[in-house]
Amino acid sequence: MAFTEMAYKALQDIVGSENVSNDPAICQAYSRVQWLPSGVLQRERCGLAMRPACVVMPGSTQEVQRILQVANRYTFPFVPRGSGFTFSAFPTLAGTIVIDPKRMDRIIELNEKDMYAVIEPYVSFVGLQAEAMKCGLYTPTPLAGSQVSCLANYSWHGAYGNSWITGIGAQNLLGFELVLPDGEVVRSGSMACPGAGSFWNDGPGPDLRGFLRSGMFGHAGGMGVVTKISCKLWPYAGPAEFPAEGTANMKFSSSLGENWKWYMIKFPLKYPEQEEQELRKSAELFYEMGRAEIGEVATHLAQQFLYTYSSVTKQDLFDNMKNDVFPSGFCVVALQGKTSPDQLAYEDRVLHDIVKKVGGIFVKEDEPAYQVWIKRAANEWIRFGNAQRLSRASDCFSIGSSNVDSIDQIVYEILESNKVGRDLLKNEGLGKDFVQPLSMNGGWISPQEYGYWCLHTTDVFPEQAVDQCNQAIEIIGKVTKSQFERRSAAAAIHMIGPAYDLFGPMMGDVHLIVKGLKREFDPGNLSNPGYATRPDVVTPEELAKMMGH
Amino acid sequence: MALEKIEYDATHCQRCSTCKWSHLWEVKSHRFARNCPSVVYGKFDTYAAQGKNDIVTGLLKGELSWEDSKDRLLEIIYRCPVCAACDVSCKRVMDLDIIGVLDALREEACERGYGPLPAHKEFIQSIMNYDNVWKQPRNRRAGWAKKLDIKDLSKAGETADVLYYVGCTYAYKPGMETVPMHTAKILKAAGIDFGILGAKEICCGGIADNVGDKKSFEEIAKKNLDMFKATGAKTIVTNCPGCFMTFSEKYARLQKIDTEKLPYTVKHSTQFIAELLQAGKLTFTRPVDMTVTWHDPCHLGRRGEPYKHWEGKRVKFGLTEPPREMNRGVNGIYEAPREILKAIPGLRFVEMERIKEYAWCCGSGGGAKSAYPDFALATAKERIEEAEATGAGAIITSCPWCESNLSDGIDAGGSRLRVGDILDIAVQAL
Amino acid sequence: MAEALQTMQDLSGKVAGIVGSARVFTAGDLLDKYSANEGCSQTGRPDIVAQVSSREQVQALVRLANECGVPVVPRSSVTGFYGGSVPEQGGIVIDMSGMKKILRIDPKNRWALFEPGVTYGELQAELNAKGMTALLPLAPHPDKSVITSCLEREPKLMPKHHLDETILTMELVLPTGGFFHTGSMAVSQEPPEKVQAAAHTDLCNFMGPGLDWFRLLPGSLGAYGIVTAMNVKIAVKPTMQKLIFFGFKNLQDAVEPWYHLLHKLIGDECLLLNSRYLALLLAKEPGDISRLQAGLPPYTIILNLTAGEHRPEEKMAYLEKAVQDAARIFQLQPMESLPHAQDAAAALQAILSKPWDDGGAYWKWRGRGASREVFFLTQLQRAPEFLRELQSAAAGSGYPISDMGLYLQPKQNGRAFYMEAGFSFSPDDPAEKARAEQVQGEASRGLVDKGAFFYRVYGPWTELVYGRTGNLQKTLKRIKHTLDPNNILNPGKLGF
Repeated sequence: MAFTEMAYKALQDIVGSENVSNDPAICQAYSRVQWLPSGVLQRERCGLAMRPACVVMPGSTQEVQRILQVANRYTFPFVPRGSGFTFSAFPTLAGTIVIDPKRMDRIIELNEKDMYAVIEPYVSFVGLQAEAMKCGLYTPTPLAGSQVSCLANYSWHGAYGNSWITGIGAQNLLGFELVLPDGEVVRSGSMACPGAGSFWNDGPGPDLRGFLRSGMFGHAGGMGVVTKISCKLWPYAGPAEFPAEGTANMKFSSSLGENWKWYMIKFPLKYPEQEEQELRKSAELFYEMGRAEIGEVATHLAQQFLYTYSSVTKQDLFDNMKNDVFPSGFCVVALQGKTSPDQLAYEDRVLHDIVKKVGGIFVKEDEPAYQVWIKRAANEWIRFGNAQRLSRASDCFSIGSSNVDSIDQIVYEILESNKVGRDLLKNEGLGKDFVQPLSMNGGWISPQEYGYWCLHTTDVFPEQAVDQCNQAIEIIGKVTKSQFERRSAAAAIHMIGPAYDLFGPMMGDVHLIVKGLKREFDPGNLSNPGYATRPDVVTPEELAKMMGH
Repeated sequence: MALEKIEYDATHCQRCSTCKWSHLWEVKSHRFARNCPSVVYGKFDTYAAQGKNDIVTGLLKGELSWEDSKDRLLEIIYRCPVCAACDVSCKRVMDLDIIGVLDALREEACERGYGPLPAHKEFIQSIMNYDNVWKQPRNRRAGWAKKLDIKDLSKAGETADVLYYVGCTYAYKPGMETVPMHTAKILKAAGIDFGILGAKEICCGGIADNVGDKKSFEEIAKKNLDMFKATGAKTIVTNCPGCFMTFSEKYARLQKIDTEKLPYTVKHSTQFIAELLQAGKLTFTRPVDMTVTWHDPCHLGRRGEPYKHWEGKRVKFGLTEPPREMNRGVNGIYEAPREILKAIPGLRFVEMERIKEYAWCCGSGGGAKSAYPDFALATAKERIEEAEATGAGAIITSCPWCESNLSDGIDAGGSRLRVGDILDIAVQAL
Repeated sequence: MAEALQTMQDLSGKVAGIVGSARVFTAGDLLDKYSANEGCSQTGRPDIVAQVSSREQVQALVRLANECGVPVVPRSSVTGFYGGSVPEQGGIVIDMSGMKKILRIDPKNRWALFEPGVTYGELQAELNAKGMTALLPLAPHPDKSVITSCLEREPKLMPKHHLDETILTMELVLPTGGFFHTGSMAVSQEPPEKVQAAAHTDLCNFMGPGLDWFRLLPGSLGAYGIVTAMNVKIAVKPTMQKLIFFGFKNLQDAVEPWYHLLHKLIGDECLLLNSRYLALLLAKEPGDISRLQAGLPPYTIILNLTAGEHRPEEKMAYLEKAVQDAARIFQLQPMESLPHAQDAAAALQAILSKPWDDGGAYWKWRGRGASREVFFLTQLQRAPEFLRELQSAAAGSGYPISDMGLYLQPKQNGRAFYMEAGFSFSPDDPAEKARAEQVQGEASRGLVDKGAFFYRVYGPWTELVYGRTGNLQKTLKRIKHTLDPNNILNPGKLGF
């Protein structure tokens, strides 16, 4: 069976004919993800198979449930999505439908006292942020930008500028409502109990978030459709509303008020010769801050962030890179006076003690980096994140390496993976056409939850061309291979889709467990089959094909 | 082929969805966070700029053909006021000419003979037949000016410092003639030497360009440019943002020159009056007891920026050669009307959430009102709800199209809000 | 299950072959200890108890159980409370209380790695020596396994957000007998304590692989896997502390001030006790309990202000000022001692920093020798409503309300509150016991009806709670079926 006219009629009956379309023109807009090298290559491989057979817009959980029941009856695959930014929001097989949640966009509850919100899939971070700030609360905002779906981000991945306090998406998800691939609805956390409210994340009994998410990532839509979540909001002592400034466009960002204080810290070291010392000093700073439990934001940024945030246009970015006015890497710290102004003053003094102890230097107000970061970009991180990093340089972007573990191990992994990347550039010319020096250089270190753990990314910026994207994937592949050879903690984070087949045998055969669950809940492999783990174990030949080799 | 000009822009869209939201820094509520009337009404991503980029990509790569879905394509292309909110938001993160993509799609539709839509053709035909979009006789064009003793610059030998260009809708639409009358009154009060083109005034032709009929537009523009040349006018003042943008941006683009290289300067009446206030040539003295909010017309704001001509190509990493300075909506006319409102004694001015380059469009522009009245009405109702949320008693604007569509929105939604032109209020304060 | 019909003797022989005959028990009084828990009436006798000393032994036992189709019940604490380790269907109890190795402490990354038998007392002693502290629940039983406490999700005294989920990586034995490392421990199959040396990991990534085990396992009562080692977050020991009390005549009055204190992030350990529970904790002798209780405020918020290594006096100064400001706003009187318990601050500071270790009965049992408890999560603003429900259930059963203990523990800076009521009774008096159990049952039903969130499901709560949660139990069962196709691990718990 496949997606048939009868199936289409059934979908029309469920959502109304105005909310479903199989028109090729409508469906064309759901058929490509070009900003990721893997997306470019996927489109190259799959062609028009990536164009969905239809797009359907349910208006309620019950409608989602009925859509999945129809999918099971006629056995056609479906792709759940949020705003549709990332690669898993697109079909890979002909005859797949896309479930667009635009009609489910309610903030169902915003609980000021108990610091949580209950939202539907099409609520963006930006709308939630605006409402939360009016209540003295705020939400973390992803570096993909706040235009993305909050629910999808929390169920799927999510990394934030202020993770020092909030952790990543996994830590911000409370309860959820999930329509399983077979159409059964399950609720988790206190949301599961009628009358209990949606304030709590685990139970009754085991925490089903452990099933919904699987490491750094969720199941990429492979376990059905999340139709509602409750998520955390965080104490916020900044302004409730911001002036309607209109024409400010990228020149500055409104202040978060006197309860927020920003700092940039650099180390007097030469780059690239002393890259390692710079990263280790930064790590030291974070460890000390973590022990002292101070700060709202603590992160290390590569020069790339200053280039992108200082640029109004792509041309600016390239001009700025020529000028080389920014430190190669730097730490950003924000303090928030949540208790009182005295607490802010105390943390300021402690921060100065720590910076002195680790040999850091506060970037001064007259330095270009300060003007770019503190005056403009810093508050944006809190208000809405920003997608500029992903886009300005070459209109194509990928994470080159990533890791999750201790701050020390993060530093180790950045150094090692950048070395692999640079050796590939030097010896094999891989990445020579990418935007340099932004690719495999420096790193974003994002210590989480007062430094108890940490993640990082380094990036690559190829052009949206098949040969360059192939190079990017080759670099990423070789970095990943080296992570396994070096037994880096980073090896543990790659588990998604076909990677289970590849790496599962090295991780206690975890692929067999995940495939078992997939078999239990989605034996027909209908829930986003292109990205989630398949229910069956694949042969090496099949795997090579799936991985695009 | 129109689409080839913007191939890079369309194919490099990251579909990040930024085009669907007001600039994230400007969002003040979940309710009024969105910026694109087209996708709010049509819901499918296809109606957003990102979807239109995908459509262009599909057409260029042969994945999609007009024959596959001509009617739906025309709806996707034309059920959009081309308000440029998407373009402004997108440029926060990318360097893509989104307005260029929307324009190119319309041009492509026309080149293939599918566009413009019948409702648009009616307008264009009216211009060709009557020099105005409303199928009205030429000799009634300056009916509002009778007994006002205003110079007619179309007459040989007549000159003035300022050419006041009225525009079709203010000239003909019943009830709107107060606007030119009040304009004249204010200009006279400030001692300005001005004249009009009387019955010889010809439609600016902006509508033809908006819907992709470049040929008709060129024809109309040429007539106007000749007329301006004949009058020797150095300064043109107009009330209609559509005319304003056409004379300053579209005519410059047509001639492949920067706006500032045009032989004349175009000023919107609010700009001109704000300058008079600043120079002390005009003062408002009588209090007006009202609470009002201001609706930024797209053609005055985002799309009212001076044109900067560029010819070149995309090179490595999408850089342009020579470097191209793209409009970002920041240099539109935003402050002048606000200065006028703030100068009126007793008037209380409150802002809506989406303002200036992030303003929500009224829904009327780009031929949307004539071809898709339901869409235009829904879009206007959204703006009225936003205006109501400010607590204002009236929504003030300075565009005949916005005023008319917002008025329809008020009627349809049963709102108690009033809609009015800024000059109707200003004149009360004289 | 080809060998399912073998004799008990065969089975115990095989178990002895794995752990040694001295560690295998098949009869006698010792089995009684494993047949019941202290805080519930549920009983269930195991057929065999095997005291293990290594992960390999656990694996071998689980494999054996799979071969024979015999249930396995993991147990780490010597004293159990709510029946989680009481066998429902007989079988083998794997007693891990003897696995007492503290495998590694990493002060820099702030974690400790240890085996299931390690108690809070044992862990805290080692941590204190390194200037660190464990994240303690309220005066846990001295026998309490830290790993069990974490897996049971006992609330921690510190409501700090980043210390709410404390489990990092784990070594676990899967229901089919394989072993598995979670989070970044997964990059090496070496024994947990050797992983840091064998690979580039500091065991700080708790997520994945495949599932978020750190979330799926807790609350599963051993049904999804047996943890044989775990590293958990620890904290830096404060250099300076000051305990503050706020007394309230009724619980409602505490709601707004407490939200304020928590949203302002003032202090570390923070809890509310009623006079009964506070007296049970503070009384020097059991005979003092009633007198002390009578003199204490009906409800007391206990707030511990702490400062660390950096400018401790300055930190303490801003915290104390914040407390004073809060007191002014809500017209409260912060106290540094309690009526009739002048040394309460020092005594409580000691109590909050270690397991219950006064040598006598566990504090909850000091009143009358035993107790039954009801506990759940809620929002603070609803706590007074649930208190009324508890009191009404007590009154309805003729239970003296003055004997009811009450404990509220904020979590995640006040997003949620653990609420516990204790009903003590004399274990020697069947009528008293029946009455306490009647209150427990009545209160549970009433509370669940009103929306109290019973996040831990034990015994009769399983049906009570899962009967209202739609497909949740079924979904959990489907996961169980995938992980444990033979239904070997602690069958019957969670209703499957």
